[in-house]
Amino acid sequence: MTADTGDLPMIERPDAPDIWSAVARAADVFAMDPFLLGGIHLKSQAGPVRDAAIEILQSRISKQLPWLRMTPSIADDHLVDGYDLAATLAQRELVARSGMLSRAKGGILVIAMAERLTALQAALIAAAIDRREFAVLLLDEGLSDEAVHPCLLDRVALTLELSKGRLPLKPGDTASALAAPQETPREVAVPEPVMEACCALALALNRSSMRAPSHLLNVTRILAHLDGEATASTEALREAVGLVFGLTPIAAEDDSGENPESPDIPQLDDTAAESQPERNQAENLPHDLEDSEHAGADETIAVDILDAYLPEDVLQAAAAARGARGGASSGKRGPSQRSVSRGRRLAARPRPENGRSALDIVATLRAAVPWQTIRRTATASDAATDRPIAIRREDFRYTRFSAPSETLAIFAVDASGSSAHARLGEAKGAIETLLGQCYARRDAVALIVFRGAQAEIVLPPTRSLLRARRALVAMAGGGPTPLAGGLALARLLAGKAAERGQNAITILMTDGRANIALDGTAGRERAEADTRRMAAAFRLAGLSSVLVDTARRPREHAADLARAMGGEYLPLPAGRAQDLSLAVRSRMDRQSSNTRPI
Amino acid sequence: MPQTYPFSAIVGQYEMKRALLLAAIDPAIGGVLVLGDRGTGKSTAVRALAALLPPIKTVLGCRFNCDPAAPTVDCPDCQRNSNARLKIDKRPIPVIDLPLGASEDRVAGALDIEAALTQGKKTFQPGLLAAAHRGFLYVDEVNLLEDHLVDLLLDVAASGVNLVERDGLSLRHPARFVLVGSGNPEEGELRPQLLDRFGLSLDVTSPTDIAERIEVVKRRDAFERDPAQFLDSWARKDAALGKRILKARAELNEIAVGDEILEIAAGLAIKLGIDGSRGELTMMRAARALAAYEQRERVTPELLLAVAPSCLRHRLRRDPMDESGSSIRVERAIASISVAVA
Repeated sequence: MTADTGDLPMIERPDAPDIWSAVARAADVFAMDPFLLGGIHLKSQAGPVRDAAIEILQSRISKQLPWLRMTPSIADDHLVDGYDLAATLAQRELVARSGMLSRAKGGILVIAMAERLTALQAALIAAAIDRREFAVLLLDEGLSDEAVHPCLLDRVALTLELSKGRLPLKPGDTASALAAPQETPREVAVPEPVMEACCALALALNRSSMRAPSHLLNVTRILAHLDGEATASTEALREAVGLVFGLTPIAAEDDSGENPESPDIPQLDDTAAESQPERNQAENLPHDLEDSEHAGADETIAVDILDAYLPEDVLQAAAAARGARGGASSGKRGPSQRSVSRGRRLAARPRPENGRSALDIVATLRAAVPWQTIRRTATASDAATDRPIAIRREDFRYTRFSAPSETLAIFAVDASGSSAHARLGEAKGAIETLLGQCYARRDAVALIVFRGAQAEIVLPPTRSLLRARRALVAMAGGGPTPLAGGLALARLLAGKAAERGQNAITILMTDGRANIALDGTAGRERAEADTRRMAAAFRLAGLSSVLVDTARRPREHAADLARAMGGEYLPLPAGRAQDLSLAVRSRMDRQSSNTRPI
Repeated sequence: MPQTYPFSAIVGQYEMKRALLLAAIDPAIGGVLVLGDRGTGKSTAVRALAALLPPIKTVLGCRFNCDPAAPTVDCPDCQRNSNARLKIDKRPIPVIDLPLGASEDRVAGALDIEAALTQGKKTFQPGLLAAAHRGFLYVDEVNLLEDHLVDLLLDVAASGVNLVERDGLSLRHPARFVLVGSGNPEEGELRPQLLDRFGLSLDVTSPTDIAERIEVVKRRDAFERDPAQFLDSWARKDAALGKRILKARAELNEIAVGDEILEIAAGLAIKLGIDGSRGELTMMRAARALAAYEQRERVTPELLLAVAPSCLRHRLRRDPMDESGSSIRVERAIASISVAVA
């Protein structure tokens, strides 16, 4: 809240842009046509900065529109319309209960911890945004590999990233400086080159979705309208790029016209060259601005924008920040929590499994029916006697569902020189065979490779064969062995999988000889001490593992390592990749066979 | 509910548009699977297609969209009033969304809770499958759909009848629909069994051609700014297309399919090592629908080869580690066949 923030120390970063005016601008743009724009993606940790930003948004938007807040912990059946069971039973007529999505109609749905939304919740919300039922404010606290589901990000036009701003928590001035206009921005003309730049920019920023250029165009038009312009200008587009892609604009350099070619943006150049041979370079794009009345018509729009953003390494920053939006998405999107309303039905039982179990009405009625006559005579004086059926607490039956638990196979492969020459090919063969089976069984696979100075997650957990195949092809061997680093990463992935309710099994393929320590320094002694430490941590976490000894002649220390990890030891005689995949398969089956009621 | 974007105004995506048109001409082709990126106009195209077609005549009061000209014996609603004369109602062609997390109750139908609780009656509340009868059932992100729902869908899509045996109910009702699925293969693969049930499949990508992208944005923008005027300017094209579909439907049965066509189809399937005869059947049906759409009298080898990639690429036996995509393999086979034909 702004009231509290006055006490906080001022952290001045003179080079940082003023985030508050960006927030206020975004709010004004959004307020012009919230349902067209879909919503705002507010990326920030919870805290006074975010509270202040939300307050600005609220003060500028909320006048006409109701705000409704939800968290991903909402039960799926409360998201959509349904029946109010208690009221229905009490009043003997059907009492409808409108779900969260219906209640948000015509307003703003604030979604806290949006990165935790399940795929289902995201799909339901996305469909409602498409129907223009409401707009959303996505409060995204995602760190590193957590991201809001891409189907939502794709539909939301505005992005604000607060971490980049400075913290002079004084939003008041900027917020009141701008007066929100009332008209709708229909009469703003958008010159052809600006439209082209929208498309080219979205493509250059790796946003293949056709919604991205449309968002850019809409935001540009609204910005021009807010500034009282009749034609959308380069300036408006520049600002729109910042608001739509969540980039922090830096001051444009003086356009002296002589701009070197930008080899950093091959996509833009390529596509422009392909589609419009007469314009060989993106830089030439806006030279025909005849129809534009903008004063800076001779300026080159694309260069302008690229100037403003490229020095910040836009392509990489954007790809990293919004990677989840692109085609080759990675990272996890919310917990794949077990739903209490999906899966196969099991027999109903008298006690709810947890707070969110659904009442099984038919089973409840069935349980109550045999007692009706008895109850009626026993409670003759009861007011309830005129009810068609007397239901008591002990009659309630709750539905149970069972969903098969997923298995994640984490392959941690030693691709170091000592191991690689001997067995890397076979390890690849075994992984390929397993992958082929995983895809039919809906198991996920992750791949960690350790070689050289450090371990690396080559393939984050995925079910996509396409990505796995690419990762395997790109896998190279050689160099020293950072075994401890590999173990650390495997533990991280397995831990996360367990949090998501998956069964994880780590298949460690190594000869067990480490020579790189956790901090990346060489030295067999420290490396082995680190490895032992990581192995112990692995066992303490209770994670299951199989160590496949890839040494030409299996020796004692790989078996020792397996014992230290609390896992199984599996020596692999040369040339038996098929056996390996069979052995691992059977262990995975054992892992996933415990389909349990949820 | 916002207005529907006109089908004729969709830029590019020829294969997707053609596949949807063919499925609309002959629903027996068996559904369309669209795989590709987000924001490529998949759902826009499905909704637009349904808007092209004229409303269907249904039995008044029937919750299962029964055709008054041919009331099915399976329909519980029509059966009840079988003695009375059926009154006719007109409805737009249903396009039903199947959301990812829909429960089995919602999809297949379940006990009508209202009637059960308030009147103590055991009646059936139809689900999404009933609502989609004679229309389209659209499943976005079909590759993320839960297995037990996939099983249910496959069964109903194949038989055209939804059998309900649950909650003490036992009934069957007609549910024939064109299944349109979409998804992003990067996020998870589809089970081969489900793949095979789709008649046509295709990969869509958003256009990389700047000019085409600009046209997409421009039209979308024009539509959003003034839907009424935009619809007006495309109304004639849409109407003509709608008529053409109806005409093609009417003429479908008069299209001749020669034995040489079936031979080519079989040759292709054998060359690609495709199990079962669903691939050949689909090829034949799709080529016939295309011939009707193109106002030809008979199916020619060119027509067959034109639809072959959509009919076959998802049926190839998958070698998960084979780098060359299935599209390329199908194209190679087609190239060799067309040489033989010429």
